[in-house]
Amino acid sequence: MSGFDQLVAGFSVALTWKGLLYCFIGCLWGTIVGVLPGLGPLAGMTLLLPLTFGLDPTTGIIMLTGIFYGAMYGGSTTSILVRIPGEAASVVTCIDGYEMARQGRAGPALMIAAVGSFIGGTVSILGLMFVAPPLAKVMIEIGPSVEVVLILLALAVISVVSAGSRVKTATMIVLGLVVGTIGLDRLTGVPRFTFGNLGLADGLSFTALAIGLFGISEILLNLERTETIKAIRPKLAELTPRWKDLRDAAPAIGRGSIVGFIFGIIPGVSHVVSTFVSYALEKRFSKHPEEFGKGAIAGVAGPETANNAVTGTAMIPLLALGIPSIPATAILLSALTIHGVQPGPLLLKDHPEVFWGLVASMYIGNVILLILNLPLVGIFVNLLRIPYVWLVPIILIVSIIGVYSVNFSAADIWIMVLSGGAGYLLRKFGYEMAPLLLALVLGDRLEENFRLALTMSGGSYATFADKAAIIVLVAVIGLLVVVQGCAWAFGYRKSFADEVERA
Amino acid sequence: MTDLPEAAQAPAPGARMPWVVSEHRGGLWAAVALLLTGVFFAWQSTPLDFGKIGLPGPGFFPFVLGIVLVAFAVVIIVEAVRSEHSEGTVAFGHRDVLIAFAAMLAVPVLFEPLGSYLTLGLFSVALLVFVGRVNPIRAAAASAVGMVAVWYFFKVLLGLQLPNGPF
Repeated sequence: MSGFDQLVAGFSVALTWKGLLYCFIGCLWGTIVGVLPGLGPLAGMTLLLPLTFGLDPTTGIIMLTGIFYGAMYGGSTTSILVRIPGEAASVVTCIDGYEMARQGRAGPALMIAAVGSFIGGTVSILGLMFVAPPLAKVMIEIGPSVEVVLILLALAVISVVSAGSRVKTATMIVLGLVVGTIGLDRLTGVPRFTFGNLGLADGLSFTALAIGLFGISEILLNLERTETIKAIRPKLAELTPRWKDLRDAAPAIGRGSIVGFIFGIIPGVSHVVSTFVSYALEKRFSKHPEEFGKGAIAGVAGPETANNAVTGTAMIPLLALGIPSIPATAILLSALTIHGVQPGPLLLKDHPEVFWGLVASMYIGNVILLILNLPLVGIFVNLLRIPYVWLVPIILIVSIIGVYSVNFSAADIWIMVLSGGAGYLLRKFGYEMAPLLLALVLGDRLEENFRLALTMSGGSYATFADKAAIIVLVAVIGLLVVVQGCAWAFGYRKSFADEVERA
Repeated sequence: MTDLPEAAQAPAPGARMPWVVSEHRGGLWAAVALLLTGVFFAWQSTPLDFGKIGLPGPGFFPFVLGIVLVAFAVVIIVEAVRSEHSEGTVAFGHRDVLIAFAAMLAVPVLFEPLGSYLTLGLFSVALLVFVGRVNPIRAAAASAVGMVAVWYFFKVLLGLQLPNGPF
């Protein structure tokens, strides 16, 4: 079957009532968590992850992915209207988006953000469609040694591009890897750190850990913030941008699509980083850089396009290599694995309906989101009026039931609560949860492939450098580690977090 | 637009959080906890088969990772000691956080013996009354409605079997 035929087959999956319904639910919930400050796409995805257990893998992944890109759309709303980013990737939008709102031009800002998001999202789906299948074909040929190198590369890049302290990020990666060793050794079946408890044979429940580390810790941190928010409802007629707005925004949307597309493949916090890069790029390209910070529409169009352009390309490493590059795709990996679908080079061969159904649903989801985020923006803004304490019990009850329903074990609720407490404390001290989660997901495969590669090579470590491609990859890892080491040694502390603070 | 958007001012940080520790001291505690975690994994992996350097066994990976974790924790401790004079603080003990966490800790204890609906109903009431400062009668009514919704959505629609408890 040609790519076009497969896409048509994908649409036949995504356009069923079930596919459409769950795509809509995902987009709607994604927009809601994007709008609500303190609930980002990660928390949104982890909280609804258990609901996918009763669904087939394609429908489940369609819903979760809808939450991911839906949150990118929704995040711009609160950034523009109340200067509170709904999620991290919308921080930059606060700068000019809110200034536009102050000048009574919230409507055009929202309109351009939604249109840019739509175009960026569509470009990235095209990227996913054209890049992932050939990449997967190449990856089928590779052995465990290359997989080890790829995973190490991903982890090294995460530690380099991380927003916080690099040593702390590296520590979280190692913590994730070591916690991932709990359970039966996959090669020998020897129990490790189970202390005779059969419930630990499969390791600590990823769902419980993910919901605890992201969802619960986020809720606890949010309970400390007592801001009350006053927002406004823009009228539909006010959404129409002026001709000058369109002229200024169009090139920014084009550049934002490219930036997001490129950054989507880089592991770490690409969706956040891409917005900063896009903003800096727009300021540099602008004929009137002095307007930035005072309501320049390009400062909204570029970053909002970029953070949506990341969503499709971030799926390429996951679906073609089986390696999640950002925490959101780690959740998707977990969901697919629970359903017995292993993302990676064989996904397109063994489960083409999952890949092409997802691609098709992303096209549909982008249209749904455009419809949701323009005429209904006033309704979403009203969500900010619901007291947070009314949302907390609902979110926690869904989390508890979801975690319990994975293994029907109260022990998983313990894991969720305790990891939530640990995540809360670690985040208070500047440790990020995303590297921990990614390492947790990748740890098993890193160890398994590392030992397999050595066994196949008769114990020769040269197996990790026996091909030109591997040597290049190892060199990149080495370079990144050296850069990170030098940065730390020379006391270089510039981080994206600093930029957020300045913004 | 009818009025300009604005975010109300939040109370001073730490105003409702009685336990304030310096970033330096708190950072040290966190690093020591990570160091102990590393020691624990390295120590507990020693009874496992290490294999050889060329053909690692099940104990190799956790041991090496435990040692690396210890090494990183030491680096963080050194950093924290160097920044002894930093003025940053971290505040803890927010009443709502403590109540919510205590309520969450009670859930796994009661979930199976008391049944899911009763446990989650009580959990919801506790959060609404003590965190949300909602009138207890209103909170109980809202929780009862919520539990009916939970039963319908999870049990009837999704077919999920949740513990019923003794009832």
